[in-house]
Amino acid sequence: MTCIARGWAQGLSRLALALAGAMALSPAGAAAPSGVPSAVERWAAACNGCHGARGEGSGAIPALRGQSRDALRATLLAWQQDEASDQRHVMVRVLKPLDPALLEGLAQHYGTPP
Amino acid sequence: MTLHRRDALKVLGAAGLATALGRRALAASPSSSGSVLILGAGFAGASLAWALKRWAPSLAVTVVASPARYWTCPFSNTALLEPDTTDALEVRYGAFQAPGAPTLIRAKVVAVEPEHRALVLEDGRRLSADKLVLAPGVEFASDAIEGYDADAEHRFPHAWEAGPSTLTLAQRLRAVPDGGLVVMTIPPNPYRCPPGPYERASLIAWWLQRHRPRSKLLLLDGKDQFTKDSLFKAAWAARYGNLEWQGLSDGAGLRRVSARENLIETDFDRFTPALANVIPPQRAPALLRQAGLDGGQGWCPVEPTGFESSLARDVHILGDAAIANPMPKSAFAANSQGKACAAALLADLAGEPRPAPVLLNTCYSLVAPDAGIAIVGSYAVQAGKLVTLSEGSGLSPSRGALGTQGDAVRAAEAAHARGWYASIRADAFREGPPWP
Repeated sequence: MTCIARGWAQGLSRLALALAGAMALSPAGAAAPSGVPSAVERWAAACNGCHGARGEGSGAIPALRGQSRDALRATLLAWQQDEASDQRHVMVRVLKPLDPALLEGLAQHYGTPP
Repeated sequence: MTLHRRDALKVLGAAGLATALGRRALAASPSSSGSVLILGAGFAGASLAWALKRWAPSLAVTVVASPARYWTCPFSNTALLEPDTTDALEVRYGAFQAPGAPTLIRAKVVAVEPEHRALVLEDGRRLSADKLVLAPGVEFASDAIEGYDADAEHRFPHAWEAGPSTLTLAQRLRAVPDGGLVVMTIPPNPYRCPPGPYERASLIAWWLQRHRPRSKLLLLDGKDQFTKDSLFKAAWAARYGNLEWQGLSDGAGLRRVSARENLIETDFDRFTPALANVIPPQRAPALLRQAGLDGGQGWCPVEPTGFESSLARDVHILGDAAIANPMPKSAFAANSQGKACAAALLADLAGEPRPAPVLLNTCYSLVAPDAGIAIVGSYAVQAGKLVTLSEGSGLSPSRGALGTQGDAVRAAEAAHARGWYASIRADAFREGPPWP
């Protein structure tokens, strides 16, 4: 119970950080005029290696594009924090090094606004 | 912008690159200008070309690829079980015909001139650009095995390039009589697709079990450890009594082959199998080695942020031909490197510092048609070297850890492997529905 509560609190604080990060991200989220991609764009490009050129997914690999931002953010946070979902161990590992601002940036990049 | 450029000049100037950058800094403008020439349209070269076009549509991007047809190595092992699916491995490059696509030239390249960032084509044309990127894949080191001549390659097909060679191996497998011995020889590291031989072994054992129940598959490995070995070995112990693996310490190192004698000779033993799949050692293609880009090492050293050659300025080397340890020589790594290189090239052309590369790898392997395992790697540059981030890396859970969920998890990973294959083709080659 304590563990669950702590995990939830951590989730909330991560979310708060993520939201704070999102504001700073807006300028960085778009490509610079030179075409040099932002951190979010470079990460999204990496995601596309498994999720398809537009994040459209294929077969058992889910689509990222078209999910609601809230749902996508919740899924990304859950994978990043939940070691128990080892069936998705690839995602648990890939998301581990991402900071909250990047995670939020990816939710914004692929997700549809509320 | 000006500040960035000045900072970059300072940093790169310290590294002795100021002259080259000066030329680029003059060319830098608010919209991307400059040109990139790419050798190779496999997972590295094609991914790079499309990433450049995504981020800088006005950039001149030219890809030179072999006129020969191209079938992907990923998923070619499953075509040994279902040869009719070999057709589906072919990349047809349809998206390169669309407006705004990178320019694709199908031609044989006879020389690389790093000092001019140029490629010389067989028809005499000489192409050059501000940035030259080489992503040519591997060459088979036939001289590394005694007796490995054209007859031996025919007799012991490697099928380590997909397509007709895959079909040949599939047909030879079907010609093995029940009770006949099948041998695979696996090279020492490094080579293209580290888990590939073990996935192939699993699928051949699966096929033999059903169609040649008295036959045996013997793996003769030029090393003692291999990627995902704990998972592969557990799967083999549980599933395939017909498979035996011998490592270098067991005397399995390949010493000699002879097509005439149908002979596979190791440090300890001699075999005359019904079928041998000899996977030769590999190296960077002669084109790159003749240009001095391997520094005599067989593979090409690069710096890890933009995969620029350690030996030639403004020449970048991606995919299997590069030394990108600890990244493996995989299609996934090549795709990831292509995108990281694209970001670095655009920064270079704009006179900005190169951004930190996002480098990932996931290798799915099938241990049976409906059972998969995976290894994940996340990488970063620390103190100028590429390192594995332990918290972003690891293996599929073991059967012991999965308990009763074992079969479901392995089945899910097999399904992920198939989904991944469709996705990475869409990403690298822009296959699938038209790009909006």
